[in-house]
Amino acid sequence: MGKKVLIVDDDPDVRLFNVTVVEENGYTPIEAANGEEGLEKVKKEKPDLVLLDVLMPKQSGIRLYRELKTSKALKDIPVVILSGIAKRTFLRSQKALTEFGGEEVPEPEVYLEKPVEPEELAQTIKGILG
Amino acid sequence: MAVVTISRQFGAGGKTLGRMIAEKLGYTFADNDIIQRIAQEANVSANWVEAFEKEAGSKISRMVSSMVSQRLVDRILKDERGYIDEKIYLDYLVLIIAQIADEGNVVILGRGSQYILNDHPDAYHILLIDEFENRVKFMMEHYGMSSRKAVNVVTAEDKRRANLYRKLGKKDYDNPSLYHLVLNRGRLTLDVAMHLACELVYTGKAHPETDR
Repeated sequence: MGKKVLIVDDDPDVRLFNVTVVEENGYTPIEAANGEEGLEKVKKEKPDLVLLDVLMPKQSGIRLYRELKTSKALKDIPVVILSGIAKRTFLRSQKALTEFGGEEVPEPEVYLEKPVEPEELAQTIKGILG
Repeated sequence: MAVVTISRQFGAGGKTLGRMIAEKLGYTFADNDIIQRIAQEANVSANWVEAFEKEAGSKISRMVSSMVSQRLVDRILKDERGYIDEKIYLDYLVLIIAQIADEGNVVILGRGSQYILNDHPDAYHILLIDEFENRVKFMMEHYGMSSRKAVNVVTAEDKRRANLYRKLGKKDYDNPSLYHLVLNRGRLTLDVAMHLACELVYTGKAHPETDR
């Protein structure tokens, strides 16, 4: 069984796209439809990589990212953000949440702005997982 | 592609001034837009977000937050819709304000935008202040309130503002060093305040490091 990649996105079509890319490159996909479900699956499945959307109802990708990167047990799991939100907007949001009393979090390993080509996504995953 | 944020003491005329500045500059005035966008992203009604904002910082909000778990809300809503709590609200608030600012040409009213966009290269931060008595008078004249009601509303809103910022770990929201321009409505008409703000945007540099 290949290394595990958790895909967190509320859009089923995007999840299907990501699952296909992950599987075709020999990794094992796991799916979650929002940040809350994503956190549960991270804890349960201990994935080798998380592909994370930002805008999702209930717990957003912003919060899940902070949960992951401030957890001793989970902070070393690499995260690739896949979002329609610009990287600078995401980083400014994270900085503001730190300013409002949250812990400082590092930048994500890779930030890809949607739409993403399958080759780009595959290369990104391979670059992190080998 | 400038961004103007307006922080204000309640009743100083911030909303009115914000609209005037936006109109003069041909910018969008982001107030209700923020509510709509938070509602859309959190998949809840705009009414819920609006009510949440009104109650935020109040005893009721704290009580409800401590009593109602997310899972319970989830069950009540049968998983078909989103929900909003203080964390979710704050997450979306900072993201949406950052997003609106990056779109540019916008006047943003309050909601901690002076902190969220503190280092935004194109943001101008304005603080609007006034004496308590003047703010009460403003509410009576512009919103048709009785004297007693206006006193109660301004007092309650001042308290709410302080509570909200305390939650965010901020006490310095009226500190002039956070702002490009502090406008004292006790000494300026709305029209003059509007012209000063617009002049700042026309001629100013949001971050004047290059002048030093």
